[in-house]
Amino acid sequence: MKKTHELIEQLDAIFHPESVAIIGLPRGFKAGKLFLMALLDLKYAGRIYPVHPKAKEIDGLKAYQSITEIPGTVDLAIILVPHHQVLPIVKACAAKGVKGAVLFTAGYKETGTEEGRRLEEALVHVAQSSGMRLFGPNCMGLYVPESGISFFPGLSKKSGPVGFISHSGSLANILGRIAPQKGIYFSSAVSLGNECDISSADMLTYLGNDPKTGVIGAYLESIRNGPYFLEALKKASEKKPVILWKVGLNPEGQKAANSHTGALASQKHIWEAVVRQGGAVSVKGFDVLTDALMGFSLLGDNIGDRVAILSGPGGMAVAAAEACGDEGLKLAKLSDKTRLTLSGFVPQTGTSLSNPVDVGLTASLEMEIYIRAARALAADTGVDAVFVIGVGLDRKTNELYTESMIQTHQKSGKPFIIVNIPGFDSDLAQRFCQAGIPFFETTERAMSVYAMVRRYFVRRQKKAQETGR
Amino acid sequence: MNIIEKAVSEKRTTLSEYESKQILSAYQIPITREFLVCDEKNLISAANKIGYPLVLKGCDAKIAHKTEKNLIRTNVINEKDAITAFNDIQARMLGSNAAVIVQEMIIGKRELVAGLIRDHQFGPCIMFGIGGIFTEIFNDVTFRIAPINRQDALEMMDEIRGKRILEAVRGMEAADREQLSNLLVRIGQIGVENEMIQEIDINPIIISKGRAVAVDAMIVLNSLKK
Repeated sequence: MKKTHELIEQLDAIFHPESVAIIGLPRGFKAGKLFLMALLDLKYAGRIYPVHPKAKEIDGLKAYQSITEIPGTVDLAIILVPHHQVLPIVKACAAKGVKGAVLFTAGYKETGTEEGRRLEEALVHVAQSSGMRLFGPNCMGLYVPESGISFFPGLSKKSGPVGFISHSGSLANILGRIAPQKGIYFSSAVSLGNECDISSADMLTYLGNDPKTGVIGAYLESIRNGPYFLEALKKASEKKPVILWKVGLNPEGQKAANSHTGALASQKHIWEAVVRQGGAVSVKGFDVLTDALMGFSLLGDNIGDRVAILSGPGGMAVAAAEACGDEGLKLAKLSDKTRLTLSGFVPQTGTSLSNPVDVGLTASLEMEIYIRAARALAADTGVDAVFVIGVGLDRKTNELYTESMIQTHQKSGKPFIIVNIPGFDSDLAQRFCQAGIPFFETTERAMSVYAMVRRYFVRRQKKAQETGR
Repeated sequence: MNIIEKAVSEKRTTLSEYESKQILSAYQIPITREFLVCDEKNLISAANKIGYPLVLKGCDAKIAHKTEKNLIRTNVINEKDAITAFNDIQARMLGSNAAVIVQEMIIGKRELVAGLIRDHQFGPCIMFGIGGIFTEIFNDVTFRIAPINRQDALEMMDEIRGKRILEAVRGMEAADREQLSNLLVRIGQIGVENEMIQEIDINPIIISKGRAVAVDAMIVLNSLKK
């Protein structure tokens, strides 16, 4: 418990640094320059100290020949030097009282060589004896919009509920870039690389306890300490959803076993056990990960299973109903009053007034039909959520569609979920997400994520009741 | 534990069926009533204690596949058959004083599998699923990281595709889920308490009158440090 508390305090200080040193910052436009550009881009308000063996100044900032020469304290050091130079610099950082160091440099354990392994061990030794925490090596480090620190220029300045852990820096960066389109904003994101010190389990502990983080996502390639990871996962999942995308689960590399149990125990099976016992949500692939982060960010923690579907295209209405059943959700039974209301404006032919409600092609021309139908469905007490699959004939109609659905969602207080019809304006799709309405590419993805979010909260509630007894 | 120490001292990495089941039994996992015999006199005495019908199996830690080696005789109904079966099995094994297990024959149509594997990352993991000769073909199994509690074990039973096999089907009694969950919890406990155990295989577990009994088992130990 004391150890957990200490870890949280350490990480909190590193995630909110008052000063950052960039050691090995290049003078010209090289990859390392991105780390400075990222800080400037997010308007980092603390002191930035470039460290360079020769330069007096880089991009208008006074440069220092070594970390030792920097006059004030340094909270965070970003280390970009070649790997044979890293160890003395890490030692100097520790002596300076740096709280955390990001090791961008690669060429350690991941190379599989004895030398790489030994160098990495030496780094761990410095960290453990000094109390300075290390990220990486072979990582991009931290993105904390609230603090103005980032690992790449071009990421959002706005904070949000998602805490993200990644074994790939580039994947964290790509996710960060598309996130605002989906209404996903971060409390923090961290690229962990080889995890010589700070591990994914440490980050689960930190983010699980972080009041600003409401959802945790992770892209994982390997787990360093299984029992610690499972314990941290259990604790974090009790408080907030943890969405895990784990790679490396195919049977290749599985060794020959002596028993049935050994032969059947695939990495996939063991991982499924970890996910279930840890109370986590398992996803596979980038699209599903982003869908899930969007769903958990935007949908509430108390969503029901009675779904109403409102669609213009008949085939998509039927497909949505099918996906609803596949995901264990229910088609809401509409009240007589709702059906009577609908019959007042929905054309009589080529439509359906029972759920899924098919308003037909005319609705794309007369947007009022979509809007009034959405209001009627949202007003029905037997409906927990409204899925809308619609599109107008032109930009103007689509704008009206977007604003009206957002308004209906806000007035009713019920979750709305919008499904794309190809050709719909992408900026309006983003407008939905910004307004707290998840926008999905397909009806199957929409139903799947809605059901995923619901399952997590139902399960958590059930667990809380069991243990509360 | 003596059985494990003995095997290690003999530089063995597998325990025989008899040894494996002794360990299971020490953890209150229900096993078949059985005796290990090397001669006809002890065979008859064991048979009379257990009562017919019996199953006779050649027992040797080095022989993993008793069926393939034709070392199992089931439905042995009297003394004459027992002696024939005993001699026949011994003749197929190396040495005339080879050990044979004499065990009660469990009658039941439903076969389950349970086991343990020590994962290099997560430590001992418990397996549960559909057992019998088609275990690998159906691949209907689920895992948990040890230790587990009763609730985890009950969840495992609900996770396999063939979970309805545990219900009252075709005139058979429903499996005793509490007893089965206890069995799974115990397997995890064995894994947690015995670092030397690498794998446990209990296949089949037969459901007889609702109760689960371990009918065959094998324990694999960690390979000695190379």
